[in-house]
Amino acid sequence: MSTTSSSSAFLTPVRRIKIVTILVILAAWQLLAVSGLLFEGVLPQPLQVLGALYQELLSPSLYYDLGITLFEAALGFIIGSAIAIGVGLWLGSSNFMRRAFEPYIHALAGMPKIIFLPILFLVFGLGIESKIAKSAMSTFFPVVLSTIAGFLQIDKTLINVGRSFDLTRSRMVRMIYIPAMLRPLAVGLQLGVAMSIIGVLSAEIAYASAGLGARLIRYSDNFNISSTYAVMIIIFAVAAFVNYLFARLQEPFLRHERSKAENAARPVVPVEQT
Amino acid sequence: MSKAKGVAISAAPRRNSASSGLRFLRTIADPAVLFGFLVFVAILGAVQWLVASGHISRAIVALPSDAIAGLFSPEFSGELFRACRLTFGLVVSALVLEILVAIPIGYFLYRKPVFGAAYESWLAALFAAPIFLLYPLFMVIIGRNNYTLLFMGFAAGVIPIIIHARLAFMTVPDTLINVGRSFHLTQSQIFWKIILPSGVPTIFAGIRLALIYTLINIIAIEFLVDAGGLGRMVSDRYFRFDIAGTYTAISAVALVSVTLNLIINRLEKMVR
Amino acid sequence: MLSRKLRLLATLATALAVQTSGAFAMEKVKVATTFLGLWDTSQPQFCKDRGEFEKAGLDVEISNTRGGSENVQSVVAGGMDIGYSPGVNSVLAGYVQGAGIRIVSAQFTGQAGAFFYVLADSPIKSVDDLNGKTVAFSRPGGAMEGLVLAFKEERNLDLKPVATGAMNATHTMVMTGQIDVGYSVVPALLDAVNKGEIRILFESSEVESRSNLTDRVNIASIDFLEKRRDVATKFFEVLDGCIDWAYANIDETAKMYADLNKIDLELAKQAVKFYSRDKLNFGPVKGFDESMELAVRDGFLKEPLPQAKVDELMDIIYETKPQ
Repeated sequence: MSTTSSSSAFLTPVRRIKIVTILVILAAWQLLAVSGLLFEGVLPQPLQVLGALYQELLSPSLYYDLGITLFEAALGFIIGSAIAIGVGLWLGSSNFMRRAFEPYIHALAGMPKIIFLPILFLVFGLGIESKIAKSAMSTFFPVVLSTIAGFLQIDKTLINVGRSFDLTRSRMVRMIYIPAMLRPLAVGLQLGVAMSIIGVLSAEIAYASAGLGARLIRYSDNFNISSTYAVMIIIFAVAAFVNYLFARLQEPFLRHERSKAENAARPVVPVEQT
Repeated sequence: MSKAKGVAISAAPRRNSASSGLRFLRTIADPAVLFGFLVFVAILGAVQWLVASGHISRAIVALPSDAIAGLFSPEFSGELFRACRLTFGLVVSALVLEILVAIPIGYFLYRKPVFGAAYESWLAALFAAPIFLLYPLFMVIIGRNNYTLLFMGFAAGVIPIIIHARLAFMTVPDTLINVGRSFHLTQSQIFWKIILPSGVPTIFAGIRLALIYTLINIIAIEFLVDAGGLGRMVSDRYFRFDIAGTYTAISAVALVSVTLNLIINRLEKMVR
Repeated sequence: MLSRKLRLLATLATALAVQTSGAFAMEKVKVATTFLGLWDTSQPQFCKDRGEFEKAGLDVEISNTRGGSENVQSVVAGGMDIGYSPGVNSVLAGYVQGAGIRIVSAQFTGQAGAFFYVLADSPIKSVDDLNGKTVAFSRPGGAMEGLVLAFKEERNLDLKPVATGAMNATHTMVMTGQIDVGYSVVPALLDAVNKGEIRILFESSEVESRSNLTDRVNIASIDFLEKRRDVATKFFEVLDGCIDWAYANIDETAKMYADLNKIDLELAKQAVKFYSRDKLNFGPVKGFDESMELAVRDGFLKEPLPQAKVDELMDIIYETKPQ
């Protein structure tokens, strides 16, 4: 759906709607905050939150926490998706193994991973190791499922071509499998990125001494409600930015096969697999 | 996209149940499935040995036999039943609210494409956003009660239904709508008789997704704030440093969500 | 005010970074405290900030956990040497499940620092009006529930304890009338008391049956005690000196306490008055048998430990000298 073709003017109808919506939300927020419907201190006014946000952005410790969170998420993502792609290719290429193990993966994938936190804390301790493990775990499932699905949709003639050239297994993976399943893999990885961040934050909220999740919960525990909102805004912005960045990074690899029309439906369909 | 009408839905299960027992037997007899199960048991056995022999501390990993035995204690099953009732009650209420709110919004975004285009990217961003993080705010706004859980479940599930509903309406073939127009149907008749029925499969995909999101989020928050049903069972045992109990509760929640996923898959096959 | 706390956090973060890189020939001690921000559990941090550990050749690293169970766990599996201030319950539960830990001293005896409050215009004027009323506690099995139950029992009150979660959520529920009586731990909500929004109904120190019971202890990993017992003892000796200093120089420590919690100095001083020095004395655990019974009641233990096990668990390495 792209009705935004009239890019000549800055204030396209779509832009106008976006701006008006933001203003309406801010106004409603302000009204609610001063209305006295909610008891005082629970919902700060937008300006107070803006002030807290400004303070946060000036504070060096924010960047320390941000760094910790991104580090944990990134490392977890790399570990989780590497294992997932390996397992996915293995299960995808063997019908027997897939029938044997895919049900377990499916079963675990549909579960709230957060309840595994106690086990991760017990096994990996309370430091950043357990956060990385949580991130890797959250990343693993969408990526492994889309790798398997991606493998299964590869055109059989492609595989036969590879075989007829007597390619080794590693060259098959590099030259045939991966290129032929780029699209589903990209979708899985994109989801994996979002999940790795969510996974880390959930672990940090449950227990951590550093990271954005810990920062959020510390403010909340200390009755510092404006700063709680501020950190939340920062977290949402960071998550959105990372997702956007990852999508942009993938573009050059996918350009030749991505069409605009497909794009519209893209974010919705694959997520069913989680 | 098949057009599943009410008749088809009610006819499907009977056909399914006749063969489902047979299909189950065939699945079990599959050597691959057997192999997978044996590996699973072997892993449990290895952990059992590692813990029993003291290579892994019992303060870190519970004996699998202890954790499994815990599942069968009568007090545990009673608690599990109550927890399921509470959690599923919340999930179902949230889901009903989500459907009631999301489908009209989806329809609005379809009827007014400018709004659809304006909010599309926001919806996609919200969909990938860590919505559950909002819980500390709602804990202080609403208080630590079931309404907070309900609301957080709702917030997570409403987005996928909106996205799917809009998509569902957008992909209704124009010819169908034109046929309706040629019969001089009113706009509301077109919606109820043509647009909604032909969008059902896609909307159902959204509802299925919403159900999982709602369940995951409610359990997550139950775990984090130690309130409610299934999630609380885990956090409560963890809080008491009851290691075997923690593993038991995690296994129980796992079994419950696996069962639920099986049911959803079955239902989805019926609708298709 | 905001930036002051943040600056403090930033200093802590950099201090941590500097410490891990430099500082050799110092004895490294990793300590986990519960709920940084409370007067008693923040003492190791204050001591460290004043540089006292460093003077004694100890390189102390402090992290904080959100509850007793996590604290015990951080010693069992998280590589911490000392767990400062976990509740007796969690320690017992961890110990019977094979955690390699020992109780090395009491950390806090009696119940102080918490108070129960009502809305300023609440019809509940005194504890006698509590019959049939709802009273908040944090979570089932937690210290606050034990306190409410003990109070209910010793005053023979027909009150209804309700789990309301963290202090901020509890505050909302009191302000919106979802619950009659809320709980708080100083310095939180003292400003609301001063402003006359809420009224203190009773303080935790008024719960007499709990006043001579060691509520929180200090633990150490067996490994740490076996290999570096002298370091463990030295840590508590230095810290004990620091706590003495803190009470002798209330103005200065109240300032650190105020900065940590981002509150006014006056409020901090008011909060410190909730704690007398003897509550923080190290040494033998008081009323351990009763604590075990309570742990059984609250589901942390299946049955009280036999004496031999108690003797094994207790390894008191330091005792505060009577003043």
